[in-house]
Amino acid sequence: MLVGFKFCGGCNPVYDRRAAYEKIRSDVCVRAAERGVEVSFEPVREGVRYDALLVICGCANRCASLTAYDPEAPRVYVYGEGGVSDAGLRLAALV
Amino acid sequence: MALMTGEQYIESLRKLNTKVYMFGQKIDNWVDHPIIRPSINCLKMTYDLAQDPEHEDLMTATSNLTGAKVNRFSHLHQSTDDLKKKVKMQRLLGQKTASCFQRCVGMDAFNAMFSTTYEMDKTHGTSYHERFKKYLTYIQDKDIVVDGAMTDPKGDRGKAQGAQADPDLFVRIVSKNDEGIVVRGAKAHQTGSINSHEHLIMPTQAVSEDDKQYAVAFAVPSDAEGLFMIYGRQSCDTRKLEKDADVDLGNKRFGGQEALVVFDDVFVPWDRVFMCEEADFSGMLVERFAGYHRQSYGGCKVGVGDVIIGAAALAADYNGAAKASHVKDKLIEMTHLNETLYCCGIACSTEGYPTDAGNYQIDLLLANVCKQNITRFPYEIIRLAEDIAGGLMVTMPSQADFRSDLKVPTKSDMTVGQWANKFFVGVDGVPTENRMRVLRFIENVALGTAAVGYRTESMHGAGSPQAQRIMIARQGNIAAKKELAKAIAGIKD
Repeated sequence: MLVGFKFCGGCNPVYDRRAAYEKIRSDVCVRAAERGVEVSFEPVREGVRYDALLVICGCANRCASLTAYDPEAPRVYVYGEGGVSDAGLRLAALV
Repeated sequence: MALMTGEQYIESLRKLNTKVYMFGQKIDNWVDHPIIRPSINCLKMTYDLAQDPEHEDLMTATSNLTGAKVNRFSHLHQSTDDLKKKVKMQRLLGQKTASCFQRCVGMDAFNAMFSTTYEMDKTHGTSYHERFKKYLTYIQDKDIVVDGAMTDPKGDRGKAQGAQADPDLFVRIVSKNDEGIVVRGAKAHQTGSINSHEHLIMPTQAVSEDDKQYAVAFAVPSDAEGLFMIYGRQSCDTRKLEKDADVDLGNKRFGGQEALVVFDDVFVPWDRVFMCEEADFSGMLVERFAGYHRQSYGGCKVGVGDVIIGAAALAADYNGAAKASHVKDKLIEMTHLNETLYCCGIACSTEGYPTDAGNYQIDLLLANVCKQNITRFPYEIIRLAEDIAGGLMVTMPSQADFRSDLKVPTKSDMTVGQWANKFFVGVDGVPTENRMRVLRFIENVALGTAAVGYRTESMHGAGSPQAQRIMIARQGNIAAKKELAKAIAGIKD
C-alpha cells in the first residue's frame, strides 16, 4: 500500500506538523502490520497512483494545493494537534 | 534545469564578477564578508525552503510559461490563490529570517513587466512582451535572483527628470544603435542588489513625453561592464566585524542589504530592453510594481512581526513579568496589529483580478491601504516590544564582558563575567545568556541593523506614506460615496 503525503506551506502552523506526520505514519504502519499489510509513505508526486493521500496542514484553512495529484485517492486531512490520532485511525482504515 | 539548492546559490554568486565597494574599499570576496553574508543567508533560505517538503507548497509553483516547477519568486501569478500564497510565503520567510529576504522585488517586477509590456505592445506595435517572456523563461530555468530596481536618486524632488541640474539623477538612455542602448544613472536603496544575479530596471515615476529618454526598462547581469555598487551601511553594522560576534548581534545568521547601484554607460542589447521611450506606459509600470510591492509588505513584515511578538513574550517570561495583565494586553495588541497587516495582504490578494496579459494583479486600493498601515503598525509593535523588554536591552554589557575571565580586584575576587551574570539574571532556571540573547534580538530590530528593514523600510520601502495616500485618493471612489450619502439623507439634486 502506498500513501502520498503533502504538507501545506507552513506559514503559521498551530502545531508541529512534522511530529504529527511522524506519529500518524508510525500509527498507521503498526496497525497495518497487525493485519499483515505493509505501508509505504512518500512525498506525493504527480502521475503516481496512491491508496490514500495524507495532507498535513498547519491550520484549518487547509490551503495545500492538491490539484496536480491522484484525483482518485481518498484524502485524509490533519490540521491541528487534536486531530492527529483521528487522522491516524482514518488513514489506517483506508490501507 | 532543476531548482537550485541553497549551497548552489552561494556558489553561483562566487562566479559573478560583481563590483562592490564598502567603507571606501573594493570588496573582492563579498560573499564571505561578515557584514554582507547574513543578507546572502536570507536569500539562501528562499532556496532551502523550496527544497523542503514542509514548505514547498508555498515556495514553488508551476510555470505558466514552461509547465516546469519553479521557485515562486520567479512565478507569474495565475490566480488569486497564487497571490495569497505569495503573501503566505513572505510571512514564512519573515519568520525564518526576521529580516528582509530581498527576493520579492524581482517577483513584483516580473509581474508588473509582464502585463505592462503586453499592453504596451498592443498600443505601440512593439515586441517587448515576447522579449520579456523569453527573458523570464531564462530566469525561471536558471532559478536565479533578480533585483527589480525602481528607485532613482531623484535629486531635487521639486523637479522632473529632465529639469535636474545633473541629468544622471534618473536612469536614462544616453545612446541607441542597431545592437542596443547605452544607459547611465543609478538606482538607490537597492534591496539585495549585490546578492542578485541580474538587475531588472524600471522607471521610478511617470515620465512625460519631453523626458522620454527616462522611460526605459531593461535587464542586465549584475556584473555587467560599467555597473558597480556601493554598500549601504546600517546602524551597528560593525558589530559584525567584532571577534566571535554572536550574542551582541541579536540575529547572527540573517540580515538585510541595500546598495546604490550605479550604471556608468552600461550597454544593453535589444533583447533585454523592455521599454524604450514609451513614456505613456511608464506610469502603468510604476503603479503596477508599486501595487505588488505594497501587497508584499502584508506578508514579509508580518513574518518578522511574528518573531518580535515571540521575542517579547520570551523577554516577559525571562523577566518574570509574563503574568502581569498589562504585559498580556500588550502581547494581544501586538498580535492584533500584526494580524491586521496580514488581513490587508490577504484582502488585496483575494480581490485580485486577471490583467489583459493573463497574470493576476492585486486590488490596488487595498494594497495601498496595506502599505499605509505598514508605515505605522510595525513602529507600534516594536515600541511595545521595547516596553516589555525593559531598558536592559540597550544598557547591558557586551558578550565579551559576560564571558570575561578577568578578575576584578575586590573583596569577592570574582571575574567581570561572574559579576555581569550575577546581576543580570532573571527568573530561576533561565541562563542569563538566554535573556541577553532575546533582548539583543529586540535591540537589533528596534535600533540595530534590522531596524533598517523593520522600521525605515516599512516607512519608505515600496513608496513613502504620501505615495499611498495619493493612490488611496485616486481609488477611494468618493463620488459614489457622496451618492450613497445623498440617498440616505434624502438629498435630491
